Amino acid sequence: MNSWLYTYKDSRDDLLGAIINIYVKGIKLLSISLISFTMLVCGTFACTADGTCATDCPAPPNIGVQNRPWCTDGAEKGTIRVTTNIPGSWTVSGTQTFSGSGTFQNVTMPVGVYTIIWGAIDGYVTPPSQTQTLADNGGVISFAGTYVTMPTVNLYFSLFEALKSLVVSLTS
Amino acid sequence: MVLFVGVVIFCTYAGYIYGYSSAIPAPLMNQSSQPPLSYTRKDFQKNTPTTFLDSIPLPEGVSLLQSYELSYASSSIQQATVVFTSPKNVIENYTLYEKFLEENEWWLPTYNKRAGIELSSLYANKYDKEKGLMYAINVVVSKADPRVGTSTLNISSEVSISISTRKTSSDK
Repeated sequence: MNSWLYTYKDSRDDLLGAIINIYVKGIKLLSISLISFTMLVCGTFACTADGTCATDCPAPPNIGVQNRPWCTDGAEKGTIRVTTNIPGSWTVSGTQTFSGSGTFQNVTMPVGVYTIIWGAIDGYVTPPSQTQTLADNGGVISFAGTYVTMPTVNLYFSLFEALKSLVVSLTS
Repeated sequence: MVLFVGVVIFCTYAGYIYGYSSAIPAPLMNQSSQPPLSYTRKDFQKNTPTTFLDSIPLPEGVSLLQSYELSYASSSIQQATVVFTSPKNVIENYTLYEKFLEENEWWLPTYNKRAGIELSSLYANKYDKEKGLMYAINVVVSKADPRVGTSTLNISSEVSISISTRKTSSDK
């Protein structure tokens, strides 16, 4: 079945009953009445409120609902790339969430805003969180985490020097 | 004597194998040849970015750990991000922003809410018809790492709030 799944989303009550025009590459294909906050449109352009549309969803067409660009959420996808200098762990949160570990990960995700939280590693300073926007269909964003060792050696020498000074002052 | 030499050889070999296996693996090569989306970053130090929505609640007198704006070359999207620490725990901050988004007509579907003790996130959209702007907000709250001494400063969590602003097409 050569069809696709499309989701319209809105939360405004005053839009119930409004006419939604669906365009494909600038050509008006369908006018439908908004009867549900989640409305599914299949490749045949049949529309149901709780539609049991296709499970076979190949690459979605360049489809958009007039004045409601966020309808493309979930349809347009790009790549999120994560790299670290030493094996670590992370969680990326956005329209969807995923976690990973190691030094590299490549994940295909819907376009949107994504924030990465790095996992802690004993003896290392955790990199700060980062946020980027996967803006383009087929685009790539890259998060790079750099763990640096905690400066414990410096603290040891500082304490050592302090103790030495204390001993010297006490004995003199 | 033979036993001693044998032990020395074994230790040398074991040390070599251990050193080899524990070496930090190099990151894998990128699986996608496409370069990451290019953007320009502007830091705002302790002030909120200019494109950050004033209506988003921030703790009074908050000291920002990060405050920056990303402008993407390939699209009209601008992303504003602030990061700050909070004495409230993860769930308290999650509840605070969940309530705010729902009360202020952000579209926040259930599947964009992820509540956890260690990490929580919210992802919502809003459309400003008058300005022709579409907003996406990503709120990520993570538990503060006690190993960096934050627990002694009455800090329980770290909050990252990012807002992407996109101009919508004029085909209304």
